[in-house]
Order: sequence, then C-alpha cells, then structure tokens
Amino acid sequence: MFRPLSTVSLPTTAQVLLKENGFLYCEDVVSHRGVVPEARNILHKWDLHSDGCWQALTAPPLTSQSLDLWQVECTIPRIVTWSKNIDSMLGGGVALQTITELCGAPGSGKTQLSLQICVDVQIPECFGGIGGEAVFIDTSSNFCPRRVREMADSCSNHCQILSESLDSDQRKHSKHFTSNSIMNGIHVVSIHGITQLIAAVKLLPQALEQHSKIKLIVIDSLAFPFNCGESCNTLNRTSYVYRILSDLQTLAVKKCLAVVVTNQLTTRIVKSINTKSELSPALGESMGHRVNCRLLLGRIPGGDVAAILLKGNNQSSSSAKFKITKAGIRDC
Amino acid sequence: MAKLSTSMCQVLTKTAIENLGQRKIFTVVDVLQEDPKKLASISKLDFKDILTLRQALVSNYTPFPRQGLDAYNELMSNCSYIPTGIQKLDELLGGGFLTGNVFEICGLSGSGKTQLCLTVAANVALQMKKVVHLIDTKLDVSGKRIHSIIEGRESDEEVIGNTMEKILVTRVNNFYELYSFLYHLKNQLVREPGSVRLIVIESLPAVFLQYMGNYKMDSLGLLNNLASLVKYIAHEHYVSILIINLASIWVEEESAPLNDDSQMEPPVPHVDVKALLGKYWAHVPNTRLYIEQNGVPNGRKVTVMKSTHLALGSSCIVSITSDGVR
Amino acid sequence: MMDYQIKAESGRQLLARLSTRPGLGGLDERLLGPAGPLPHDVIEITGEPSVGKSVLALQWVARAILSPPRGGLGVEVLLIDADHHQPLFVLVRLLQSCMKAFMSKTPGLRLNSSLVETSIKDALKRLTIVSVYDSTNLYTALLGLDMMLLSKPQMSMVVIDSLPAFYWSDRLSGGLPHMDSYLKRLLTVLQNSTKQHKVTVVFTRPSHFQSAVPSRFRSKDDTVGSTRLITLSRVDDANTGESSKGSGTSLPRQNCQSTFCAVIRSAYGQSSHKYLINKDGLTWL
Repeated sequence: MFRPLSTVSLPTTAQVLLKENGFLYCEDVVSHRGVVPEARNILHKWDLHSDGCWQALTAPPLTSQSLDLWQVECTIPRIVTWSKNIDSMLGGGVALQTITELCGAPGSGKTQLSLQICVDVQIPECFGGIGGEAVFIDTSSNFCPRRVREMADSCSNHCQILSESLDSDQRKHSKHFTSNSIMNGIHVVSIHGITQLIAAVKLLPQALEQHSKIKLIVIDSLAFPFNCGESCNTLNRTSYVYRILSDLQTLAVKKCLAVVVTNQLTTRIVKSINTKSELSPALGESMGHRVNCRLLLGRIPGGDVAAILLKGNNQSSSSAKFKITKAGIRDC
Repeated sequence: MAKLSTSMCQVLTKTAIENLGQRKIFTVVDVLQEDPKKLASISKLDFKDILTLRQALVSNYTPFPRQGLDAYNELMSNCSYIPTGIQKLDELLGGGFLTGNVFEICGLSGSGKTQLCLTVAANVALQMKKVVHLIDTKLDVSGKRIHSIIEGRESDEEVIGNTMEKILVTRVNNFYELYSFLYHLKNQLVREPGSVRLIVIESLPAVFLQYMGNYKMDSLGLLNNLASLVKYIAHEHYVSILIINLASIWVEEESAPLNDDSQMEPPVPHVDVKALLGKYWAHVPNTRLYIEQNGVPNGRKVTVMKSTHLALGSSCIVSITSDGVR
Repeated sequence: MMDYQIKAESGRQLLARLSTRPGLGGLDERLLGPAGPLPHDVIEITGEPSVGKSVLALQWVARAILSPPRGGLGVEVLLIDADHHQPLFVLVRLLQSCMKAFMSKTPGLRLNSSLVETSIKDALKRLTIVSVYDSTNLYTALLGLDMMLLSKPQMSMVVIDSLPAFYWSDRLSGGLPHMDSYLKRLLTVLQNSTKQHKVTVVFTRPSHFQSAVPSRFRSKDDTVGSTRLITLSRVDDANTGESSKGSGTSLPRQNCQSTFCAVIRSAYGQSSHKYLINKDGLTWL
C-alpha cells in the first residue's frame, strides 16, 4: 500500500502539477535514492525539492510514553485564581497547555473571572505565581480598564503585605510587581467580526515571539462574532471554530500557556415527551468536544455565583461558589 | 509506486516512458487501460514487448488473489479477542475487541468516551502487557488520568511505571500528521509483525471538523484515504483499531405536512442524535458502539449500533468512576 | 514470430468464448428467477448502510460455492473485497445456515458438525478473494480480471463489495467529479475485462454514491450499466414514520427489528419483496 500524495501537506498548486505529470503516490516522488529528478524540477518552484524537505513533510510525529507525559504534567504549574473553591474544582487552578471554556448567561461573571485570571497570571514566582503576561482578545468591547485597575490594586496590595515575610533579595524582586506593571502586562486586542478574529489568532505566534512572557490567552467572547453581523452557516461556523481552537491548542502545548475562552448560552429546543427548551452553550455540541475543560457560571440567589464543571480532565463533575467583589473574584 | 519507471519491466526503456508521457500515459493503470496496439505505436516498442509489459504489470500490480480456504485458515489462526478488562463490555463484545476490526465509539460530549478508551488502554497494557498506541488529536490526553486509572487497579509503583511505559501517546495536530503516523506504524508492522495489537484514535472529528462547510469535498477524500489505511492496518496485520467519534444533536425544522386537517399542529423541530463525519464514514467501521448516560449517576449505557459480527441493539451498563470504567 | 503470438493469444480467447462455464440457475429464485442470472448479467445492489447489501451478495456467494449435495451450485466465485467488513466470518455463517435450510428440506440428510465443517472447507476452496486497499489496487484488479478468468474456467461469478469504495479519494486526486460517470467508467473497465467470458458480475453500491439527478437509468440498449438493479431499503415503522430519514448516521433510532424491502428492476419487469435480517442472512417474508 502506497501513500497518496493528497495526504501530504503540499500547496494545492503543487499537488495539481504533480498529478498532471503522473505522480500519484509519495513513492513515485521519492525513490530510495531521494527525490526523483523529474519531481525535483516540478517542486523547485515551491522550494520543496530537497530530500530533507520531503522527509520533514512525511515524518511521523513524536511518540512519547504516558509515563513521561505524566511526569511532565506533574511539574506544570497552574494559574491560581483568588477563589480556593474554583482552584480545587479545577485541580489547583487554571491549567496551562489546555483550553478552558467559561460559559454562562449575560452578567454571570464570565468576563470578571477572565479578567481576574489575566491579573493572577502575573503574580511573580516568589508569591507562588508564574509571573507571566496575558493577551486579551476582546470581541465584544467588554474590556473595562477601570475594573482591571481595581483588581490589580487589590492584588498588588495583597502581595506587598505578603512581601514583608520574604527575605530582602526576594522583596527587591517583588517591588516591581505593582498595579501599573499588571496593567502593562495585559495586552488587549480589540477585534470586530470573524475575519479579524481568525487573523488575530493567526498572528498570535508572532506576538508570542516578541512577548515571551505571555502565559495566557483570553478570548472574550468566542461566540460573539459568530452570533452577530456576518451571516455564517452552521457547518462553516463549526469549521472556523475548530480552526481557531486547534491553532490555540497547538500554541498552548508548544508555548506552555493557558487558553481561556468565554461562550454564551443559547436556547435549544428539545423534543422528548413534550416539547421543551433548554439552555446550552452556544457554538454547538462539537465545541464542547474540542475544549478540555468547560465551566458553567450562573448567578444564584443572594448575588453569589456558582460554577459547575461540565467537562474536566481529571475530576468528576463538581461545583464551586464564589462572589464578585470590588477587589475581584473571592470565595464567599 | 504507480508511475511507470524503468525498474518495472526490462522492456520498458527510458525513451518509451517519455513517449508515453507525452500522450499522458504515466501510470500502471493508464497502460493497462490502453489498447495494446495503440501503446505499441505511441511507445515505439514491439507489440510483443507491450504484451510482456502488460503481463508483468498485471502480475506485479494486481493484488494477490487468495484461495478462500487459505484466507479463512489464516484468519482463524491470527484472529483473537483483546479483552477490554471491563467485564460487562467484554460480554457484550463476545470476548473483547476482535483483532482485524475497526471499532467506533461515539457519544455526546461528556458521555465518557475518553474515559472508556483510556480504561481499555490501561487494562490492555496492565493485564496483557501489550503496547497500546494512543493517538491524541486534541492534545489533551492526560498522563495523570492514565496514572489514576492504573493506580485504581494496581498498587505497586513499579508495575504502574512499567504499564505506563507501554501506553504510547502520539500527539497529532492535523490530518497530515495523523496519516504520517499511521503510515509509519504500517511500515513498522511490516518490519515487525505483531508488534502492535491495539491502536486508539482519540477523537477523529477533531482533525476533520475544521474541513466542514466549504471544504467538505476535500475532507471526504482525506477521510477515504484514512479509512483505506486504517482498514489495511487492521485487516492485514490483525490489529484492533478503536476510533472515537462524536455524536451531536441536530435540530431540524420539519416542514408541516399540508393535509386537509383543520387541526394543524405547529411544526415541531425534529431532534436527532447523529454521529459526526457523515454517511460515508458511517460505512467504514465494522462495529459502532454508542455510549450514553442512562439516568443513574455515573452510569453509562453502551449499545451496539452497527456491527458485522455482533447482535444489533444489544447493550450493557457500565459505571464511570474517577479510576476508570467498571 | 509476432503473428504467432497474437494468434496464440486470440486462440485462448476463442477457447474462453467457446467453453461454457457452469450456470447459476437456482441461485436465488425469488429475486433472480428460476434460471438465475445469465452470463454477462451485471447486478447492482444498492441501499443505505445496514440494510444487508453485503449480506445479500454473500448469501449468493455461499449458495454458489457450496457443493450440489449440500444444497449449493458448486461453482467458483471471485470476491473483490474493498470494504473489509469481515466477509469470511459472515460467509461461513451463511454457509452454515444454507446447509441447515437444505437439510430441513431434504428428508434423510443428516449432517453432523464435522461434516458441516468439511463441507465449509470444501466450499471455501471454490472461493478466490482479492483484497483491495486503494484505487490503483481496484483498477489493476479489474484490469487483470481477464487473465484470471482465463485461468479459472469454472468461475461463473464475480462479486465486488463495494465498487465505488475509493470514489472520494479518486475525486481528491483529480478523478471524475460525477458519481454516475465515475461508476460508469469503472463498469466499462470491468465489462471490458469480462466481456470475453461468460460470467455474472455482482456489485454493491451504498446509496449515497449517486449523483443527485439519476441520469443513468435506464435505456434498454445501454450497454454500459447494470442489467438488474436491486434497491434495498428499510420499511418505515408505522409508529414513527421517521426511520427512513437520515438513517445513515442517526443513532438511537436504529432498530434491529425493522423489516426491509428489496425492489428489483430489470428488463423483465419490476417486483418487490419484504425481508428480515438475522444471523441466517436475509429471510424472506
């Protein structure tokens, strides 16, 4: 059995030209002596004619033992939120290398929680944080600098108090962690529409080259561009969402960072015995399949917020309660 | 190799290939389809040589015919069940996953598909001491989770370590990497027969859903190629392949039937649970299992939806705990 | 020298033309009539997934390869397997039920399990299997059919499951975009290599492999295309009335108790038959 050329990631034009010249399989292009001369001439145009290039195109990805995977996982830090309840539900905080989805009705605290995580990711290592920076991709003009300032003030004040107990060397280090530095550490990208969103995600790798400290990418909200303005059918929408999420996932694993996306709830009609409607996260069932962790947020009587873990990697479903104060997300 | 080359047959000269190429005759199939007389005049080869060439190509390139009895005996001596280690599921499957078959597990998101296949992988590695390949398309197979599943079955740290060494995880970012890896496994199986018995592809839709909508035609072609390769590995090398697919709820507006009845009901949306990847893929797996919640906390019902060797519609109940499926 | 070669070749062909292959009378009286399929017949079996296309084809294979004293026809069959749904397992099961049915019809015939086993092994010797895994495989198998049939004078039936198995892959690598013309081309290739030989060709086609507008069916002088078309379908349950809808991928509604219906169309007319699927294959109602 041979490998069809269409299963190699080649430019479409190169595929077509190779086919027109009778090349159907990888084995037609590469003999045991390397790329055959005729194919070499064709592929020259795309700079894909070298033997090494073909090897890279057809090489299998790396395989690792789950033992190694586990050992690496155990050393990966997490972003702690200010709520112990949420942290314990998530197994110690928001996990790096994964996509966490926050969904909930309007006003349920999705944006609040994601802003809080943007602040928390910057807590320096001497306070048990990871000292990173954050990218906030704002699709619905939800980003509110004044609110972030409040959270940043409270966070940096708290750390200043903590720093009393540190030795002088570490204390000097922690001096740089101020409300201003937190504000500087959040890179806000404002986008409108699906096209800009896709472009922003495509440009992220470049941004990460320039700002190597980035450890968190937030998209607030992922559903918004798809639900308003531009018309987009369900199949195309699924395709776009999957492209965005798989780009983010690749980035998350490669650069060891966390991805948080927020999502809305929509009404879905369910026909069982009698027709009823139920609320479910937007962007379809397949979206839930792609994210690694899904949290449902909702207001409960008394003004607090409840979070339910709908899908998680290490835990069975559980829930947490927190409140939103002036200082940010806190346990109640 | 399908393109003509001088190594295929002695009579096939470089000039002859060039001559044929000018008339768009490039491949083995092109030659076999063409009239021999016409071929002779195009290639400037002897008619007799053309017949020799045809004969050589037919005998080298037609797939090898096997007598039914030989094929059956070979099948019987190589076929075996890979027990899943989950008693109820083994009973449902008649002993486990039958080698040489492609199995599909589908269910709604959060129904425990991943947990089920991690449990099977852990059990096979632990009890049969066999290598299990886990292909991870969502980049989220968690070593911690595998560890906790094995920990629930075995307390000796060394055994746990050895078992985890047997579960090999490969992360693939896209379809091309997935194909490259399976093709690499195929070559490995040709070199060392029997070195792999179970391959789990943890979520096929994750690499295909991005081709939906405008790219559907491409995706079907790629899916076709993948299906061929998967079947080749399963069938020729007696490997069980377990593929995770996603089911999804579809809401369709049903057009109201226009009868003379004055009591017209408002159109009720038709809700259907469908497996993803479409009708073409539905044809590929030998057995399709559907996993769903059955109302009991942590309880899951596994049903045979389609199978070439199991009774359709039979089902079993399993329960999902933090240390796997029981 | 050259002339001699040509003559030798066509001499063999002449022999093939003159020699008679065993007939397939009584293969399936209900669907194909008492005379069975004729040489050069091309029978197409189509339908949604899980309606028994392959099972029907294999049921015929079982009947054909089983020896006459066991209720079969004792002819050789070639199976080109492109779908890989474990045809041998199914076939062995069908051979058993075929013999069982024959035993109940024939008083005095007792077959113990070892006799059944030998009969199955004997029957399987008349079967040749070719497994194909990509479109080059399939084409070369079809093109090489001519030579294979020359060497097997007892072979009367060629079964292909399923013919358009590599349509999407071919389409991606620049094949014919229309399913109908794609199928037609495959059939032409197939018929070119079988036209010298008096064999019956049976192939299956999942129903979604068809262009939206069926253009092919069916003028009588159409030399390319099947001569008999069998369409299998699930009969709608009276309760739901929905089961035919999207039955390919929809999940919880699938019901193993459904009844099915086979419609056969040919130059001789049209008829329909209801059936059930169980482990003995298709059982007619």
